[in-house]
Amino acid sequence: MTKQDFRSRDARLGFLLILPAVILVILVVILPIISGIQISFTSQRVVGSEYELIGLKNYFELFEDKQFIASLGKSAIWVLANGFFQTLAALLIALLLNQPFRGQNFVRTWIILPWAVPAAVTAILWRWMFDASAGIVNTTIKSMDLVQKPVLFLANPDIAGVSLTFVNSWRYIPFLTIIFLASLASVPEEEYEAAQVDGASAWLQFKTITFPNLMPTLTVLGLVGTLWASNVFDIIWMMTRGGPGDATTTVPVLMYDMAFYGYNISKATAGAIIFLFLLIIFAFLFIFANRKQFVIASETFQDLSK
Amino acid sequence: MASVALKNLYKNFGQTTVVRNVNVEIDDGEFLVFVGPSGCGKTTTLRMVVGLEAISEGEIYIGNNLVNDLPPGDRDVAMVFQNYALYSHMTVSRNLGFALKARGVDEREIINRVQRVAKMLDLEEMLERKPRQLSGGQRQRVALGRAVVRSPKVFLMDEPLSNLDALLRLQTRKELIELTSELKSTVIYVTHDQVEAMTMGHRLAVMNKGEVVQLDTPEKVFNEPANRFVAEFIGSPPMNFLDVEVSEKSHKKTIRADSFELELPNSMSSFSDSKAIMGFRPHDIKLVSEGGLGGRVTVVETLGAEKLIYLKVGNNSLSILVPATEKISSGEHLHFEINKDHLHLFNRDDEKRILFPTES
Repeated sequence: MTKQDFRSRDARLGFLLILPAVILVILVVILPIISGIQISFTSQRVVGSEYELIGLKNYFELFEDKQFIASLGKSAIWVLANGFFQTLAALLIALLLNQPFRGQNFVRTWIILPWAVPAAVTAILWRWMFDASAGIVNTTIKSMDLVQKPVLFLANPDIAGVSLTFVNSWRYIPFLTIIFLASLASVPEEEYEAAQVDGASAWLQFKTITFPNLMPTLTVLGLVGTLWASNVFDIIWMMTRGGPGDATTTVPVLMYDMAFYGYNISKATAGAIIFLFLLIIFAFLFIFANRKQFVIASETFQDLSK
Repeated sequence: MASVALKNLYKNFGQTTVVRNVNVEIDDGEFLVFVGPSGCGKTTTLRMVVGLEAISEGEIYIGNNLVNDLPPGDRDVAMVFQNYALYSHMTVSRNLGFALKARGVDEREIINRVQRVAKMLDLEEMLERKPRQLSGGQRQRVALGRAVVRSPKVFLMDEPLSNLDALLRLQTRKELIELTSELKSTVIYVTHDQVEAMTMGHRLAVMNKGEVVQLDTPEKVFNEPANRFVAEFIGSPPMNFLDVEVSEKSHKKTIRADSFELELPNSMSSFSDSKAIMGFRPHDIKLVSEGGLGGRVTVVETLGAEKLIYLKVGNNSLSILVPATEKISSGEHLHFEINKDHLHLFNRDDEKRILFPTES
């Protein structure tokens, strides 16, 4: 058998192996998106109702819809705040957990717990804890004389966004921490030893050894984290329903509200398509701007899988 | 440069003692080699000197300063690691200058010194490359340069040549000897390779099971090994050993094994025990046509200029070196005599070499 035959047999096997995944993606991702684009060009109000083709009318309406424009801004703030807070906190926790201490393995395993809790449980849990009259957060800070009146964590439009960011971060930080820990484990211990002998301070070691080694991970997380955060719906809906007022109405929340409470599914779908389009543009720009780090990340992954 | 003194040094990991009562004084400008099999504690000893491993007991002096409690960066020592431990995200030039930068040396001075070292080690062409773009030999030179650029009091080297292929290792070994003697450096070098130890060290500290079993010049270690372990570990191919009985026959001491008898030289006539271990190196023999020791050839290995012959002598397996011109094939019966001037006797109980009055 020649080498070429072997290669093409390999290629055929490879194709067969990914075929189930390709079919699944077509069925649950590609087809719904195409059907979504179709719906966005119609006047359909609810699922199954009669409709006619109206072209780009939904899109034109959305571009003049102040609520939609505002939700784009809120989504942007939501993504930036979550991204910044989660990354920073997870990195600090990972650096701490990377230091040897008693019970290290126990903590490193069970820190994943908040991430494993279902979103609905998390939402209800924190609604109780944030409760104005009986919640543990308010009773605690009141007993410490930090505040006179209870803080309306979810009912005050100035605070609700911060509270939601906190709860969503509480949910995702463990996962990011685990990713950072894995990344830290791949930094060669000898480089730190060499740096110690060279007389480098802890800060210089972080700056010149740890941080460059974390860059590929940070970059990949920058991409997927942005996409995840953009699409968060469950926590916001279950805790504030986008309120008070429109204070926490991000794009996914507005689209859901518009489709199933405003009975305008075609316009909501058009909004979702616009959002999808923006995210795709972002992803392309982001990957292009950071292509070097993505290459390193994929090489690292290949090295690890060897 | 400075001298180094290790005094009553111990290292325990929990209940296990991996370094036991090490006492070594290294002179200013001396090249000292810790040599021993894996797990003998040589690397741990080195790591205690550099400060990467805490000292369980004992004292380490660099120059006249007790450094037990100083962090590695304050000991003014430079280390070359076995895997080089180059900073993978920095260019060669930044790797070389890192220690100077960490110490706040002026930028222009750093550039000057990096240039000088790069020239010395032939690294000028690759100053802007990253470690992953270098060959093994080039990485090794960067690791060395990173140590040299600091002009430290002491160089510590942990098997720096073990990752190079055979030819490059020979060449680098020579360069390293030249460089360190040129710089008049104090070097503490760790290796498991006895040839490397013999060729590079001014003195060797042979370690086994956490202890220094002999501290001496390469010649002394080779010719007057302290015990059976040193005799076996230093020298290639290793020394032959035979359990023998010693008796007196017409005022001459004679040693006897299952298949032969040998008269001891006069210098060893003071030996009074009835049992011993006899040792001789494979090249300390002479082929004879009759008499001497006889045995059947089992394996012939051609080494180039010499042949290594494995023999079955009685119940014992021995090896001897003969010139490659000798035509010998396996199965043949061979006779040889041992050069009695290079015969060693070891005590059977503690395996220490027995000293005779002619030796100092």
